[in-house]
Amino acid sequence: MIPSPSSRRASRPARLRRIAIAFVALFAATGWLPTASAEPQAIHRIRWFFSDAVPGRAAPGTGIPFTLPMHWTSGAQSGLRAVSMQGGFILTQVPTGTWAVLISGSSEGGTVFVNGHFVGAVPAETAMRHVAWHRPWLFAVAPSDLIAGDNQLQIRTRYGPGAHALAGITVGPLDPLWDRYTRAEFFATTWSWIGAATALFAAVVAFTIWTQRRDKVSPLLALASGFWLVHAAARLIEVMPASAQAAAEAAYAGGYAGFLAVAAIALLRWRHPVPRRVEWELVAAVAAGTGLLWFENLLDFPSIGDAALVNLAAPIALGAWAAVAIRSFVQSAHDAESAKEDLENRVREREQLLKRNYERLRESERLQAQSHERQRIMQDMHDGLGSQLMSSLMLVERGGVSPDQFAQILRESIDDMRLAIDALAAEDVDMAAALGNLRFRMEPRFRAAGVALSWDARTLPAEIPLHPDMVLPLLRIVQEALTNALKHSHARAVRVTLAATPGEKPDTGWLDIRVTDNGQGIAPDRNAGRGLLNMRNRAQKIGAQLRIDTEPGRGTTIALRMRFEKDATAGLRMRTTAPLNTQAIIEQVRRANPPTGSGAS
Amino acid sequence: MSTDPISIIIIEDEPEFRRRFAQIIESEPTMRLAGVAANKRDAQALIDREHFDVMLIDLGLPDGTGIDLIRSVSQKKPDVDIMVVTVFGDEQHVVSSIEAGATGYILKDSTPADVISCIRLLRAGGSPVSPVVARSVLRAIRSRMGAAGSSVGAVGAVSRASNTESNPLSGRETEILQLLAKGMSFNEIGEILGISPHTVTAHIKKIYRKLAVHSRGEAVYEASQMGLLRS
Repeated sequence: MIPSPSSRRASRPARLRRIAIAFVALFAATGWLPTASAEPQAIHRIRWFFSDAVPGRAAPGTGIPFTLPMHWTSGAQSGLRAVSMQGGFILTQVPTGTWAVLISGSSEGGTVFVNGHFVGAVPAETAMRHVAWHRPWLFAVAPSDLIAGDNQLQIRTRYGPGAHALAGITVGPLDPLWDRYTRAEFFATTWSWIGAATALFAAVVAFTIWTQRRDKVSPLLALASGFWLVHAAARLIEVMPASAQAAAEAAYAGGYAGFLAVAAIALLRWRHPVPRRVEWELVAAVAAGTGLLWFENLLDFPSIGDAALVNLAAPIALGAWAAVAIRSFVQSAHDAESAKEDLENRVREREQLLKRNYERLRESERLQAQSHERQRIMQDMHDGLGSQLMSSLMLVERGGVSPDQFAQILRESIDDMRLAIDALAAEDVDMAAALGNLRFRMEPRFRAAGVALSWDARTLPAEIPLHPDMVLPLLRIVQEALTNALKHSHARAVRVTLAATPGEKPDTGWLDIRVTDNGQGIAPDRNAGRGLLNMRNRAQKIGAQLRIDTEPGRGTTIALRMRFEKDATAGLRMRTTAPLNTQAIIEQVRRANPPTGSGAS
Repeated sequence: MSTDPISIIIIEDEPEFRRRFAQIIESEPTMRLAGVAANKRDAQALIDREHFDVMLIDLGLPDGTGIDLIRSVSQKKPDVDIMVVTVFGDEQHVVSSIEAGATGYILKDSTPADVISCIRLLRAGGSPVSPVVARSVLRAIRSRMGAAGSSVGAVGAVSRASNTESNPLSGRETEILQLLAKGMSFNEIGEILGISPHTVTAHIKKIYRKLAVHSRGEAVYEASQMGLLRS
């Protein structure tokens, strides 16, 4: 039986009991259980006459006795044989109502007589026409045809080569026999149609599944269904031209055998695969067995009783297969869903991980940038304000510094500090702006000392993209050059020239800064030498070229040359500006790689 | 111009500097010290009580920032010149003061001569400026216009937008700021634009006022958007 949720929970004996009841019910449907009325009589013995000209009431003791149900075969060389089968039944009195004759499972048809009176006829075999009936027959018998005492029933028919059968003859009142007849007819005819339809449907479904999935089991199920369809069709065609007889019988037997063999192999492949060789051996065995039986005319055209079971077998088998297929499908769908859910969970997890990693990365980059900034500030304090204060301290300790000079020293230190702040505090540190600021800061000192400061920055572009690490050190070098010119050269005029020239490659250029004074030049003494060496070192550290032209009495020119590139600052700025939108990045990645729904495959 | 001495109040919490500024002003005959205060509370009382032409204010007061005082004085007494005292003269302090309504600034360690000349400059209709402040003002304008992305300098973005409606500065004003940012002196700028150095400083004062109005206006706009004001 098709398993249902409730039956799975039932115990084994309970389940078996249910199955048994179901079968018993089916048996009852075939009419094997005795009905309420005891009146219908079954005729169990008949007498056989090889002639259809026998009188309706043949003399007792004649003919060949046979017991029903009976099967007989006829060889091909015999041709068409005529036969009369005669059986008797006893009635105590002539019945009042209509009676009937129920012939179950006669393969031949023929004409039926009761006490010599015609009762009914069914098409029989002729030279042109082959018959193979699988259904019961019911003929009404008038009470006037019956007598009290011994009644004779006769079936006259013909048969040709092949196997034949006569299952049973029952005589009785119409009503109970009608019930039996309809039940038997259902299982003989209607069920065959059901079986054929089921087989067709199953064949189409299995074939479609095979075209989609190309697996090993469904083509066999399609084939088995096809075989059963052939068998059922052969069963349903009961009258055919004589020339089609062999084909019909082959289809009947072949379909049945084919169904058995292929269904068996399908079952094996599904649950307990065996090597190809074994499969073909199975097919060969079934084919051989079937062939042998058919050849020996031992194949039964089944009676009503067997018919019910055999006819039931295929649809039930296909139904069981359908149940299994449904369960498998439901399981697969469930698996796919849970796989999808599992996948989504894992993707979510990965997203979280990714997000955390991004944030961690960004944080470490930020910290790195901060530490870098700190380094820069420390370096500049060392070079700028630090050295300024140190030399001022030396000066003061040596003595001979007036309060005004002291105030001036301190003022210059504050200015230095401002210079650094201006350069460091700006978000986008630009060399041109820093130089402009330097001029602004230095001008008052020059004015106070009465030294003319000319500043020529006509060819300088508005922006010079130098790396931020370069700006302040470069500025300091220029500042020192200016301070030297102001303090030590005794010059009356200092000229600063700033120019930018394009380089060979596009988006590159050279920055030229020139500080010229008309002072006394730099004497080659130790202090000056050390100062200049310091300046050279600083220039070298930032990759700038430094040239000092000096001649005692002829003034000094300090020339700086620095290379700049268009996007030098781009990468650095990214670190310190917009926060990384991790959510947007994850969304982008997701859109590019959508998760697949069918995770199970 | 009035012949009355310029009346000045000083709001400075550090006593040394307070004394120094007071001394500078008192030794100048054309100026009069109208009052001093060392914290916000006293300053507010002084502002309400006295009439004055110039307010000298340090932002770092013990009981809060001086920005609020700047804002309230610039709105209630628009004729008063507000000078912010700053140590660094850096972007953060100066520009936010200008946005609140300050029209000038001096460095804390300025010489007496510098202080006097700055007050005179303010009263004459001009404002002080440095390359850093000029750049900061340009940047403040750019960020208020909401220009997307950042370039190497604020200069480029603002010049591109100088003809759009959202830029409160005129073309000339933008040009002046750009030249200042490069480090040019007033004389040089006057030469290039064909105006006197005094006109340049007058332009700067106008620029400061525009920045204050613009930032105030933004607040008003936002408030009306949020339904806080009724037009």
